[in-house]
Amino acid sequence: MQPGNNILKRLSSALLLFAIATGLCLPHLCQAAIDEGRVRAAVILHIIALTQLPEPTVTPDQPLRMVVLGQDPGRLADILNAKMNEPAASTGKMVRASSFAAYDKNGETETFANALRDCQVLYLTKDGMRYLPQLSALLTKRPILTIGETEEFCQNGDGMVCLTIKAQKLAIHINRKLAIDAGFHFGAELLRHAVLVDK
Amino acid sequence: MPCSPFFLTCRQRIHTRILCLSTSVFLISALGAANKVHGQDLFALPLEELLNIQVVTATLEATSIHEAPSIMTVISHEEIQNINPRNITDILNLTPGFNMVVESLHAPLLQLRGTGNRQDNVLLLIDGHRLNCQLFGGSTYVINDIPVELIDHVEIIRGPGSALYGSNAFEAVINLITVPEQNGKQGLIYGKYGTDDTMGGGTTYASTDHDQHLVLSAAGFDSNGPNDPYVDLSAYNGTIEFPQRSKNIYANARQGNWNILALRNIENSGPYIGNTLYDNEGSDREYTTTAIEGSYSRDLNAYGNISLKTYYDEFDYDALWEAMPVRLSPPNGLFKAPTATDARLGGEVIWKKTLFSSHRFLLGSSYDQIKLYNSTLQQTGPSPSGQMVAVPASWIIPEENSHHAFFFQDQFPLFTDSHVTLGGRYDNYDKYGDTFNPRIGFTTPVNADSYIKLLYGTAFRAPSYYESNTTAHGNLVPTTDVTPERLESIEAEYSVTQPQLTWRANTFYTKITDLIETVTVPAGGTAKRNIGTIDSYGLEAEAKKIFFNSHSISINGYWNYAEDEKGDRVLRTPQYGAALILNNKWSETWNTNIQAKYTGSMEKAPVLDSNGAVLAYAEDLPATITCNCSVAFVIDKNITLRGLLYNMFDEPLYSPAPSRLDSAGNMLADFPYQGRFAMLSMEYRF
Repeated sequence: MQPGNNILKRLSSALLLFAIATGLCLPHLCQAAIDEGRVRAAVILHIIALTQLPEPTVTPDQPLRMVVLGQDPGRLADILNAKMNEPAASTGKMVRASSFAAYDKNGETETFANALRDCQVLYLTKDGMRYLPQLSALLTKRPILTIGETEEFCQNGDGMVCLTIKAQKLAIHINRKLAIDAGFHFGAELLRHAVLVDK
Repeated sequence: MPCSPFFLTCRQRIHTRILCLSTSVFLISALGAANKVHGQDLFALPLEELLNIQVVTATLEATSIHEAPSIMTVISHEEIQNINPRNITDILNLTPGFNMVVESLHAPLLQLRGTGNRQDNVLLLIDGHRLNCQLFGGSTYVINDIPVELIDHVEIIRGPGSALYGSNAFEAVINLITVPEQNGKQGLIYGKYGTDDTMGGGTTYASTDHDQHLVLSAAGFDSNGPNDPYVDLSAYNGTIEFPQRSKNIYANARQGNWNILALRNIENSGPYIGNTLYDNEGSDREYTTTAIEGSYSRDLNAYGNISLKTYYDEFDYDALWEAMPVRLSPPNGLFKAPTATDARLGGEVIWKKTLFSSHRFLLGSSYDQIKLYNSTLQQTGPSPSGQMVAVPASWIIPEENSHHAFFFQDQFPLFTDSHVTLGGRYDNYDKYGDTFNPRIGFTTPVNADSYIKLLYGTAFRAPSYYESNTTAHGNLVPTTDVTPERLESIEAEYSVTQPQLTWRANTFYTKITDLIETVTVPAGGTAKRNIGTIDSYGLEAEAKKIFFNSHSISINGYWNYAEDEKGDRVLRTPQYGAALILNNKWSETWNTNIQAKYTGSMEKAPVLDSNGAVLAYAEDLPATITCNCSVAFVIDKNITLRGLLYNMFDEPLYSPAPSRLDSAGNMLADFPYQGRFAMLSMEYRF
């Protein structure tokens, strides 16, 4: 290998190609892709707003309790909680989220058991899917809106709503049968934008 | 001319100005884009608009096969189970563009894109850990000892991979992924018995609980291998044998953010015809591979993710060659016993972050200390007892070297749904100097079902110690001045993925320069030199169709044309080939899988004398079709019985090793390997 000249030539060629490519991507950069966690949080608020819970467990001025279970690199819980502190969320329903990296691993401000006992919404990240067997007993005891991140979660009848990534955009899948059996009803607007998976 | 901007040529001035202008535009745009993202109130948007927004993941999780900046094939767990391969090379043999052969040294060789019969041009990883040895550079000394039962799936990248992986990621990267993290515990105990006195067995255990994950595996294998009659170099009626014995243990454990990986593999390969081409029953070789890796990974939330890794690898070579049988060199024959050990100690740090909200950025650095030691050579002495004596000048010069590298990769959306990947790696060897290898990829969907990829990259392969440090032994003269081989490649792929049909086709052009070849030197003997060049281009394609929901047919094929520096076609490799896999899942309890592999003919060079005159013309190796059949029967929920009939029509397969003349001046026959083989195995899963 020839130190010096060949390196500079290769580096400058690669930089030139890089510069051309990034110059070309100017139109894209003006419409940059958005961090997934923030978009996911916004969609979840819409889903919750468009879902009728089987029984009112909170008063209208109280936030719904959501447990996020599993590694949460998108910081979904933090984003939702930050929104809750703003004057009024556009959807009208507020959500207070608690994040637990693992099953039965207590959080900084509350225990896992308490959070599960009080939640109306359970969100399983991809990492959190592994805890489904432990959660099955809880999910049959009382109605909890279950949201996951993989299609299989809905297709296998484990969860009611799935938020997946298709062609770099969020897509909603709904297992309506599971939801109806648990007493949940989805609004027409939500059903219009979702793929129905019934098992 | 002094190196100064004031003395740039006209073209250099233009390049410089374009660079400055584009870089400025990029930076300004990126800053602007970042501000625009922060100002956008997502929570005020209606649901329909939210579902139309392009998102980028924060975790830099594995991209889909469509977005990966490489020609990629993934062999899934289900496919591996259905094929029921004898070993991992059986899986590779069914991959588009690959053909596996055996020459003299038992370690299988890969034929890929017509560039020759090699094993040092492919990087082999297990769960991301490098397994190529430094002594020979090879990837296949351990590949067939890793039990297929341990492997969940295999990721194969064809094309240059040095921009991320460095040396040996020359023409392909093979990553063996073991049991993934799944909730709960799972285990497997298996045993197998087959023809050629083949026996094997092992156990695999995996447990995932909370933030812990553990994979353990232990396996053993013993086979006498095929045993065919063969007339050797001395016109002696001998036999060709390929015995193989191996023991393998593997562990991969994660606790929270900490991970440790350990592998130890011992392979013992006995008598074989070898490159001395005598029936040498007294030969024996033992390769021991040891790998240990510890890593720590932490999500830094807004600051990205960082992972640190430290590793130690060792490859120990201990051989006994019957270089001259007793009948030809009485009373004791000529035995040689070379040993050598190579070791690699190093560390790596990788930082990943989403920048400007859409750039998945990776930055890494590594440092290795590589050492060759324990280099000894003994051979039969003049003593009538045949006692081995040490040869003063050993066969490989011990050495210690260091190597460091910096690498980066940036993947970002370009237009709607398109991606650009830019990467590069700077490697610096204290022995060879430095090199920079870029990788540029553009992937874009054409419509909802299809994708296009355009790829450019370069790669290098640092010489192995055997190539760079040999002393005079056998025919080899000392070689200490070889330099790395270089590769440049352009590829394009079109793929279609529909619910029950997927297919893809790619074309490539590859140029290899400074190819290390063995040449005859004027003073006599042979030496390693960087003299070769190969230009190769071709097509590869694969398709898979699922029908009746539980049956599938896969077909793949390739064509290539490769020529060397003289403009002659590269010999001893096939120009085309194809494979077909038909899988039928007849019920929940039984499954059949039929594979057919077609390999085109291989042209062989004539045998020349020392002046280059033709002594004899060699016959080309004919095209072959090998067919295998696998059956799986689920006896009980936990017990599966599998049967394999490999090469069921006993198609003769011959080694593409260079032709030689025997002592009588007749063309030495190509030696056969692996005729029909049958194996039964039983698995118990818990």
